[in-house]
Amino acid sequence: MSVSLTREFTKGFIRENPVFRIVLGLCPVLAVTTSLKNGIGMGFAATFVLVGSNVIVSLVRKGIPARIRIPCYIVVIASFVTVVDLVMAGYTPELHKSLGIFIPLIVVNCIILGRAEAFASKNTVGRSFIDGIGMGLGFTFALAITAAVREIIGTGKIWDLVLLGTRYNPVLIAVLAPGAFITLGLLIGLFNLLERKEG
Amino acid sequence: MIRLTLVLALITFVASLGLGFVYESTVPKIEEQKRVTDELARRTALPEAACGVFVRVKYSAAAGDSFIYYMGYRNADTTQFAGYVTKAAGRGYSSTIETVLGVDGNGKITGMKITHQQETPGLGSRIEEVKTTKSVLDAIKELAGKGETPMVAVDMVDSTGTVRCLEVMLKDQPLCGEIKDLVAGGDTSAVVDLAPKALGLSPEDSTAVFCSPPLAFGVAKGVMDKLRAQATPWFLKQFVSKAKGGLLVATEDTDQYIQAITGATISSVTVTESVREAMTILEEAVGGFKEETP
Repeated sequence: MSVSLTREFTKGFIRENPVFRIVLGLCPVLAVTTSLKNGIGMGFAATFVLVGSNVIVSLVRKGIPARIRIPCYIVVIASFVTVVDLVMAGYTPELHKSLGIFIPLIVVNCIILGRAEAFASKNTVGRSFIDGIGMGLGFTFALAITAAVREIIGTGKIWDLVLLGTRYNPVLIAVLAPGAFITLGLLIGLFNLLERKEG
Repeated sequence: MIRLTLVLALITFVASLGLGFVYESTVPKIEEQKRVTDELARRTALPEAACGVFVRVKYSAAAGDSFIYYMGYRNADTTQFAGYVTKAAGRGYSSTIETVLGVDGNGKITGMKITHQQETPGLGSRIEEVKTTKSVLDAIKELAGKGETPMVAVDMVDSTGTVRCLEVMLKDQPLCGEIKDLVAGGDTSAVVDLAPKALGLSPEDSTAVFCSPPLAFGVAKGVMDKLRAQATPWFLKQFVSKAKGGLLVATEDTDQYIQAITGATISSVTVTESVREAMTILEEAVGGFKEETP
């Protein structure tokens, strides 16, 4: 059982990474990965919502009629997103300001509703909790990698620190919308390549 | 059907209770953050009154709309007028951008601070970005305890204004907590030693005056200007010393003009236009600025 739980936890990092393998939740990936700080902040916010909603959905799954399960899941997810929004506004105002509209938009993140429907509604609370953490950290990992690549190429900095020196001429497109698509495409290709080599 | 309704109602009721609890727990902190943000913004926007007081004034325009502005003074007994502070607001790309701006008696902008925006991260939201020259190597050196001494500088401070002024001037500076402890502990010599050294200035650039109590020391004006320049977002620096007629949107990266940020032109134009509009109303509210604006 413990091996199985470990596998449940680690699947979200590479094998079933929600961004690079399942290609879900791309809206925040494309929008907020202009800096590593934003990427990690969004990743942890989504992880909290994912873990919370997975646990609650798993707890109440037997009492919810199938016909209204989606509205119920959305209420649960929206509640956790509101909690994140309020807590961030009170305790991390700079990050809250920086992520802006993308915090409320976690409600419509496909990964969260997807895990609630595909996993939490069919599994125990413990497994759902582990799945939430694994998938959330996998999502954070994907955001962090994408953001780091874009920030370094697009600004020559990482986490507000100068990395490539003052002589480096930043490739601005990397932090603009086309740069998000190009970087994500290349990273997905890289993950596919790694998968093939392993397989 | 009744069962479905009851289940959904129960879930929303429990969610509401939970959210109510979280709201009640976080609202004092959010309000406090807002109050501190507004206070810091006023003092940043009107540096001459950074250690002074602000008097709130409500102006009723002819159209019936009310307009709030603050009169800033350098001293607590409101005899030394420094300028006005008001708030400009305009609709940006994805949010309302609120800007606190300071204006001197002649109608020239003394400073600005964005207090609210939810623009696209990395694009429009960069209007708040402070340029940095700190490198990864500097960060590693600091972690290893071999970093440069952090920049430190404060205006005149006294027993009542110490914490307030330090918070205003050192909010975004590293180790400001340590400096506060030094001042609170009465170790003024250490603080004054740090100021010129940290900013790479000669000791002649700073002057120190000690009175105990109240504790007071001053730092040369050049030091303060340098510190303020480093703490102000690059985008907003381009507004300083401009009258409303001088607010322009340029298309290239230069400190001489307001920059239209690529991909976020709407955000920058919104700030420019809302500030110009606020200055027009302010001018009417105060009965005209003392001198003609260019």
